[in-house]
Amino acid sequence: MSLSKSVDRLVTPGEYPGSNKAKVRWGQLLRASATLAEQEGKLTESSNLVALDSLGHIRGGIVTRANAYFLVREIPFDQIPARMRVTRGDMKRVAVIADGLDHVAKIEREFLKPVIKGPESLESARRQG
Amino acid sequence: MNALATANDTITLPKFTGKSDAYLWFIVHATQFLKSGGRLSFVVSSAILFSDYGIPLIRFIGHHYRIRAIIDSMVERWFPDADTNTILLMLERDDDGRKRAANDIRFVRLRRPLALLIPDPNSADRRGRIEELLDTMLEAEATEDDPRMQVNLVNQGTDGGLQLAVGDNDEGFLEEDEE
Repeated sequence: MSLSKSVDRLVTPGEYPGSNKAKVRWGQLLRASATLAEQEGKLTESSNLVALDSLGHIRGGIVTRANAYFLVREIPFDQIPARMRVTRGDMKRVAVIADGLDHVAKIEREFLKPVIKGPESLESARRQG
Repeated sequence: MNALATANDTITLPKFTGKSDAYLWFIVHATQFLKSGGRLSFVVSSAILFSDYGIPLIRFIGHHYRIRAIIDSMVERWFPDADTNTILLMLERDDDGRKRAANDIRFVRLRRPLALLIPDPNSADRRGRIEELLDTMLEAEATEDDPRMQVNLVNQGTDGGLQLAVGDNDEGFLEEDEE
């Protein structure tokens, strides 16, 4: 088969009739547990639980595909290497950060956004752990 | 090798979204080489469990295979140095739609590291023990009591167990992710 024919095959829309809207995901089916469901039922009945989706819109997080590059920590002023040549005045506009591979760089503050990487990032979780 | 197809097969190619992972096409491509009864195992990204792009793949798989087992681990990452978590797909090509629909998918979560479930690579009985473990998983009844694994059984039906929407009724269905 020629390359162009192969490409044609790849772009041909499929003919699997029906919707792609699913009521459950395989992840739910994989992790379903009768024991947990029973405990959840008891807790729900006791009114100690509220449905998470009643508190806000629930969705998956952002997948960076390169956490070591995108998730950085800011270096406090007194720990910034001298070679970065920043003054306290500069700190209003720029930050000195270290990425997941400990590469140090300067970045304009407008490009830094706070993120929660996961539950382990929460101080409350650390205190309880 | 008897399970390999020798004649041209007619497989309708699915329509995957542009956000889909490239590995989907490996499964689609591999399908044409299997006769009914031929088995296919793939280590794939666990994104298939929750992603929107996984749904057309699951529908494709459900249309051509008896989905024997989906295997995951509760206790370890199989490729600790990789950024991607993985699961194991165990599929058996089946051209009989009734058999596919009647099949129960086994969702298996291992509770022990693989190193404790199978002998080390130098062991003479490693292969036999792996096949034994595999047979156990493929024939397992639903259980939460086995210390080695939790198994859930879900009927494959015509939609791979996803309970897909019928008609225009969207009530109660999971929202498509906007990412």
